[in-house]
Amino acid sequence: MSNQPLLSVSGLAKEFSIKGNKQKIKAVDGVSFSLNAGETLGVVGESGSGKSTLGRLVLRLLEPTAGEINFDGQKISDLNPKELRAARRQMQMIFQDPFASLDPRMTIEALIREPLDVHKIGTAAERAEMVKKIIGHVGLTEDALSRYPHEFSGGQRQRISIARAIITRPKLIVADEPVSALDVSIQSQILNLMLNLRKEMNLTYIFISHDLSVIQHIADKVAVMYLGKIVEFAPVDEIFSNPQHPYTKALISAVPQINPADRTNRVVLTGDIPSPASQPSGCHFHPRCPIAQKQCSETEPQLRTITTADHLVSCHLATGAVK
Amino acid sequence: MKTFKRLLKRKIALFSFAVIILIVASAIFAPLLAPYDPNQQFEQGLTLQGSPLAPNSEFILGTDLLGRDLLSRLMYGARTSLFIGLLANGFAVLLGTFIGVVAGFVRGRIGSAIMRFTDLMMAFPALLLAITLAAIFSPSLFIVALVIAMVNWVQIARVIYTQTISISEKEFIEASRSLGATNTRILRRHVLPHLAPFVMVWATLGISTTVLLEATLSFLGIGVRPPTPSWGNIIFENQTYFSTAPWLVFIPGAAIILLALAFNFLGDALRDELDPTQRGRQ
Repeated sequence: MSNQPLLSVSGLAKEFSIKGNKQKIKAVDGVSFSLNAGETLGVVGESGSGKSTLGRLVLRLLEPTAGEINFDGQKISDLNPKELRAARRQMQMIFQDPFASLDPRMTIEALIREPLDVHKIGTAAERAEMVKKIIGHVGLTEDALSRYPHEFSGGQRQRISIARAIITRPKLIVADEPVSALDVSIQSQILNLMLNLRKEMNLTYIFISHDLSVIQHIADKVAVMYLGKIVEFAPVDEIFSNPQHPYTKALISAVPQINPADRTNRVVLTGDIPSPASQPSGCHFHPRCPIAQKQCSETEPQLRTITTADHLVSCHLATGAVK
Repeated sequence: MKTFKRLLKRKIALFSFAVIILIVASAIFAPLLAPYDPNQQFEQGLTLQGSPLAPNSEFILGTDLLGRDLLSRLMYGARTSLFIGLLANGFAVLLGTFIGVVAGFVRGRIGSAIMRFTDLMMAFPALLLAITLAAIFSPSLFIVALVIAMVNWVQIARVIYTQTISISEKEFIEASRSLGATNTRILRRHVLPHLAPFVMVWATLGISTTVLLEATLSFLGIGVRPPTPSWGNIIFENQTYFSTAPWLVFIPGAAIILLALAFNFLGDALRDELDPTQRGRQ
């Protein structure tokens, strides 16, 4: 049991059908990965790459079209609604927009207590006690409890969301762009809070972001997504020191560097991410790829290991050579 | 109770509340308060030419076309109108909200089927429906209330349906679901509180429409039977005297408007008090 990963996902896919159109949109297309307890997986990609959908699929907030999710010895993808609700105690979510994800008509106390009410944890007095404890934990004071979400700033609300997510002591937290809606100065506070909590509670995160510098700060492993697929998967240091996929290289070169000496040649991608409804042939990335060759438009590359066993990339042309 | 206390701190809400209490009290205590029997026709209540009397010291609000005391009829009429306004409208609001919420929350085929039925009801001329229903059941106050409710729930169902859908799509609903909340809990704790303001607005608006619809039905002879007074049928009975005795139409008309406005203002204030982002703002 201890050797088993906390979460393993295989062949996960989600198709959305569009009204009046037979064609289906493949938002997530055959994604597999596994994650050990205490690790953080960073998922990066542009808008439309399917990273948010992936996060929701893992928690089964969306029903997968295909694939399997195993979490903590349970096959999440097979649970009936009642079992799934019970399992949610162990897997929580933090949403991107703290203005939209907190019910404006509930007090902070009611909001933070809600997970306890839902899972019937403790007596009323115990619940009140736990709420008081957790609010200090996320860096807010008790006088916040009787107030309403609109009285708080974005960063404070995200702290409230985090309190809600951790109060049931879950094992897995999916954070969908939890800091993207916040000011940069607040971002680091929230990230550090999440890092501290991870250490204290041995949390496992799936951290979805389009911001590579944020990912670099928090993640252990990184999955780079493009058009619903993982195109590169590697430990965080490996991704940043030795990116293999041209898309990853382009993303990394776009991260601003403070030291001019660290600045590398910017790989500029032209065009937008194609619509998932009309996917390019062969490698999905080839129309935008700066080094595309003939085979790229013909055969689709598969994820394969390169350099080390935990570095996966799906590119015909990746050689494993450092830059 | 806390909300109620805060509510009465708003001047307009306090005033509206007082008006409602006044009307309700005069309806309940009509036998004690009314100066005359509402159905008694006074010989001295008509001029020699047989036209109604203007307000005077004997008949404070004047008399109607049959020489009856208007004030007494208004007080007794308040019983009928409040009964219709509260019962019929309350029933319409409950039914409309229930159907709207179910259709909006369940969605899918069941939701669509319910809404197509609602559309059908909406396309059906309301008055014709009311006349048909009233003709099938012999008119009584309760039947009239039921008929009005059957006509009025449709718009409420439509509005509540759309609102339920829009609230269900909000992120905090998904957040709740991700916590593991059941549908019942989501409905009760998150959807219904957000629907409350819309229900409230429709409930208060509905009071005036139901009172007026009752008046229309009375006029067509399928509503409240004379000589039982209701605010609506007082207007319709006396409308032929509109040019010579305008108070016979204006006074009960003003009573209807006053009641409707009082409920509207109170409803508005209540809606603001229930919304934490609006609380305390005037």
